[in-house]
Amino acid sequence: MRKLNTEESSSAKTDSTPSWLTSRVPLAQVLEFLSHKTVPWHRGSHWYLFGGIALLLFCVQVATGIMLMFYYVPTTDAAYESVLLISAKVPFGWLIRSVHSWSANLMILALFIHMFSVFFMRAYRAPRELIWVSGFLLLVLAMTFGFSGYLLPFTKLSYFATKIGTDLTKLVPVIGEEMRLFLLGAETISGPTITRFFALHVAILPPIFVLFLIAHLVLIQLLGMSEPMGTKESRSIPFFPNFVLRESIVWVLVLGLLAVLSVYIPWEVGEKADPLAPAPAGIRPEWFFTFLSQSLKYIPATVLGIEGEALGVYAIGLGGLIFFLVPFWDRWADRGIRHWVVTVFGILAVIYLVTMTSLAYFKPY
Amino acid sequence: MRRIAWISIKSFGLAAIVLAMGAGLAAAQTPAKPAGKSQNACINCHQNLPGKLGDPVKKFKKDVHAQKGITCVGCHGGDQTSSNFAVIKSKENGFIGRPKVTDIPELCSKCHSHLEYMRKFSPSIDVGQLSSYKTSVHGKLLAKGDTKVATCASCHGSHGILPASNAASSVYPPNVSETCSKCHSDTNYMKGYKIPTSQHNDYLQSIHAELLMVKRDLSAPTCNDCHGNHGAFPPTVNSVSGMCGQCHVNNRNLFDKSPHKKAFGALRLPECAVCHSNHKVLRASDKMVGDTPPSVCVSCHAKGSKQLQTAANIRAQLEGLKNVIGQANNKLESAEHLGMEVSEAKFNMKEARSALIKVRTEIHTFSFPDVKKKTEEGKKVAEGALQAALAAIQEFHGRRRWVIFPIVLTIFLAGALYLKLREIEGNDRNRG
Amino acid sequence: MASENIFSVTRRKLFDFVLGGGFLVLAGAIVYPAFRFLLPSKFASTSEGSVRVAKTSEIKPNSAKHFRFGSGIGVLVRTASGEFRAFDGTCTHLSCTVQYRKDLEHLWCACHNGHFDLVGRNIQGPPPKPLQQYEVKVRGEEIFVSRKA
Repeated sequence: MRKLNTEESSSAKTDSTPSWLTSRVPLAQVLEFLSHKTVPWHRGSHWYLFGGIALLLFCVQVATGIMLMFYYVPTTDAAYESVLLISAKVPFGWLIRSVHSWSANLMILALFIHMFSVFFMRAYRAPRELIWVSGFLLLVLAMTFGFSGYLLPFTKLSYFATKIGTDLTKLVPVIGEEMRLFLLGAETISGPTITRFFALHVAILPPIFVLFLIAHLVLIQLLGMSEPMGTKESRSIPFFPNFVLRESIVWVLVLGLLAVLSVYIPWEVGEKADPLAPAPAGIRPEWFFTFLSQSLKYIPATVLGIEGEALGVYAIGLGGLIFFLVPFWDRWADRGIRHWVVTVFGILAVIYLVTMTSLAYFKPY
Repeated sequence: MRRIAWISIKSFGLAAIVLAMGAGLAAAQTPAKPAGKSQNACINCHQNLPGKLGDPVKKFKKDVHAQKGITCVGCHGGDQTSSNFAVIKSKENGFIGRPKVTDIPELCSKCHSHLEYMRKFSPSIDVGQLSSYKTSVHGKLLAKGDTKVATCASCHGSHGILPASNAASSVYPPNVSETCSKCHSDTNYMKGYKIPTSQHNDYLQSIHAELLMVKRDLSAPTCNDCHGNHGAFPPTVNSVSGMCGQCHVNNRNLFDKSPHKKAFGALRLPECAVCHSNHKVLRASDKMVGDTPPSVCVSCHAKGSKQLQTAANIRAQLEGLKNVIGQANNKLESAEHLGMEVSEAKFNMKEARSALIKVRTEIHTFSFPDVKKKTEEGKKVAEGALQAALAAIQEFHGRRRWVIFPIVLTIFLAGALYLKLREIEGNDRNRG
Repeated sequence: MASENIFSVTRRKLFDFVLGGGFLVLAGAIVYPAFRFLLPSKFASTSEGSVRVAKTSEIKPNSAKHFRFGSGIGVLVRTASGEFRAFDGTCTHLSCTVQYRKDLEHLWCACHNGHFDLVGRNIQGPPPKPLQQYEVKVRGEEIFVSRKA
C-alpha cells in the first residue's frame, strides 16, 4: 500500500505543474526520501528513544531559556531579585522557570540512559565511533550547561556549590589558578562571575551544543542506526509514520511528565546568596555532579604524598577518558564479540555512579 | 625644698642661656626661620631642659592655645622678648611661674570669660564656664580651700590642651569618663568625700558606654551629659527624668503622667534610675517588666499584688506581639523562598516592628489599657501579614490542583497516538 | 463489506479529528502560558534605580508622601517654599518610619521623638545619624526619586 502511495504521489508530481511554494522550496526530494527511510527495529530499539527524548528536552530548554532571558538580570544585586520576580510576579513565571529546571535535569538523565544503552549494545563500534564521540561531548556540554545555569539565580546553595566546583579547577596542572580566575573573572564569585556564567550559559554553549547535535544527527542519518550485534536478518520499520508515531507517544509522555513535575513539585527560589556568610550545611552541587563531590569526601587528604582531592579528580577523569575512548579500544566489538571486559567496565561505572549519587542524597556524611 | 630646686635651675639655666644665645644668633643669620620663635625666650631655654622643665615646650606645640598664637606668657606672665633672665621672670612683668591650684579657674577665665576677646576665635563661644564652675561641687569645695578637687587643668590638661572635638583630647566625649575616673575611681583619693568610686566601672557596662565608646556614637551620653561639665553636680532625685528626658523624651513624658512619678517623688526615689540604674544603664530588655525576676517590678511590689498582675499583663501583651511578629516574619520568609509574592506584606511588617518599639515606650505609662491599645495596633498589622504569608504558601501548594490537566491531556494524547499506531501497524501486518 | 468500510473510514476520520483537536489543546496549553509570560506586566520591573513617586499636583507645599523604595520606605517632602526633597524614611535610631510634621516643618519619628531637619540631619532626640537624602527629579508632572550617586 505504501509503495502504491509513493507511486501515486510521484506520478501526481510529474503531471501537475509545480506550485509556487514547491518550486521555491524544493522539498519534494526530501519528502520522497523520508517516505522511504526506514529504521531498524529490534529489542533494544526502545533505548534509542532516549536520544529523541533528550532532543525534545533540549528544544524545551531553548524555548524556556529564551523566555527567562526576558526578565533575568545577570548582576549580583538583581539576579536573585529578578528570579524572585519571575517566580512571584510574572504570569506563569513560576511554571516556565520550573519547566526549565526540570527539563534540564530530565535531559541529563535521558542523556545518561542513552549513553549507557549505546555502551552496552556496543553501538559505538566501527564505523560509528564519531557518533559516540559527539554524543559523549554533548553530555559534557549539557553538564556544563547545568553547572553554569546553577549559579544564575544566585542563591545560597548555588553560590557555595559553584565555589566548590570552580575551586576544583586549581587541580589542573600549571594553569589551574589562571583557569579559575578566567572562569570567575575575579578573585571570588562576584559580579563578573555572574556575567561570565551567563554568557557561557546563553551565548557560548548553545551554538557549540547545536553544532555537535547537528554532527551527531547527520552522522546517524548517513551511517544509519546501529543494529544489534550478531543479528543476521534485521527487521525494520518505516521512519514515517511508524517510528515518528512511536517517538511522538514518548514525547507526549515526556511532556506530560515534565508538566506534572513542574506543577506538582515546582522549584523553589531559595535564600539569597550571602558571600560573607559561612557555608550552610548540606550544600551539594546539582545531582549529576554529586558522584564527584561524594567521591572526594571519601578520599583521605593525602595519598602517597599526593593531594587526595587531586588524586580523586585525576582518577575519575581517567576513568571517564577510558569510557570516552571505548570505541577505540574495544576491538572485540568490531569482530562481533561481546567481550566481558567491556560489560564489566560498564556495569562498574553504572554501579559507581548510582552508589555515589544515592549516597550523596541518603548518607552525605 | 623649693629653694634648692630654684638654685639648681638657676645654675643650670645660666649654661642654657649661653647656649640659647648662640642659637639665637644662628637663627638671626638664617632669615627663613620665623622671627617670633627665636624671640620666645621661655622656649629657647626650656626646650633644652630635661624632664618636667622641658616637657611643657614639647606638649605646648600641639596645644590649641599655641595654634591660636598664645604663648607661655599668656598664662605664666613675664617677658619673653627679653634676653635678661631677671627681666624675663620679674614680678614687675607679671611673672607668676607655676599658678596655684586655687588660682587656676580665675587665671583661665581672664580670657575665657571675656566675650569680646573670645569672639575672635568663635562667634558663638560659651564664656560662662567660670560662673558655672563656681556653682559646681568642685568649685564650692575649691572656694573652701580644698585643693584636691578638679579645676580646669585637671580635666583639660595644662600644656597640651586640645579642643573637645579632637579625638586625642581628654575631654573628647569617649575619653571623658576615663578623665573623670582618674580621681573618682581612686578610692584613696576619694576617701573623705563619702561618695562611691564605682561609677566609671558601672558606666563602662552601660548601653551608653557601648554606644559612645564602641560604636563611637558621639550623641550617646557620658558623665558630663547628666552631671554638667563645668557646673558638675549630682542630679537631685526629682530631676532625674529631666536628665534622661533630654534624649528619651517620650519615655519621660509618659513617666511624668504615670502614677510612679508621684509615688517616687513621695518616697524620694530617683525616677528612671530606680529601674534602669544610674551609671550602669543596661540595654533595656522586655524581661524588665513582669511579675517574676529578673523583672524590676518585683523589687518594690509585693507578690500577688494588683500592680504585679498589671506588670504580668503588660509583659504578656509584649510577648504576644513579639510572637505574632516572629511568626509572620518566619512565614513571610518561607513564602518568599517558595517564590511567592509577599513584598507588600513584608513592607507592612515595618509598621508592626515600629509598633513593637512604641509598645516598649508605652510601658512607661504603667497602664495596661494604654499598652494594650498600642499592642493591638501592631498585632493587627502583623496578623494581616501573617495571613498574607499563609495564603501565599497555600497558593503555592494550591497550584498542584492544576496537575490534573497535564495528566488527562497526556493520557488522552498518548492513548490516541497508540491506537493510531496500532491501527497503522495492524493494517501493515494484515497486508504484509 | 462496503458499508462496514464506509463506517470505518468515517470512524477513522472522526478519530483523526479528535486526535488533531487534542494536539490543538496541547499547543494551546504551551502557547498560552508562554504568551502571558512574555506580555509586558506592570509589576515586572526589578529596576530599583529610579522610582516614580507622585505627580507634582498630588503634593501640596508643606506636606509629604511615603513611598516604597527598593525593600525600604522613602519619604518625599515638599517644603513650605515648594521644593521637593526625598529621604530614606527609616529612622536611624531603631528603624521606625519617620513622618513629616507640618507644625515643625521637619521630619519626626514618633517612636522616640527623634527630629530630622530638611537636609536629613538628626537635630534632636536619640537618632545617631542623619537620614540618607535621595535625589529628586521632576520631569513634567512626574516626580522621580533615585539614590544619590
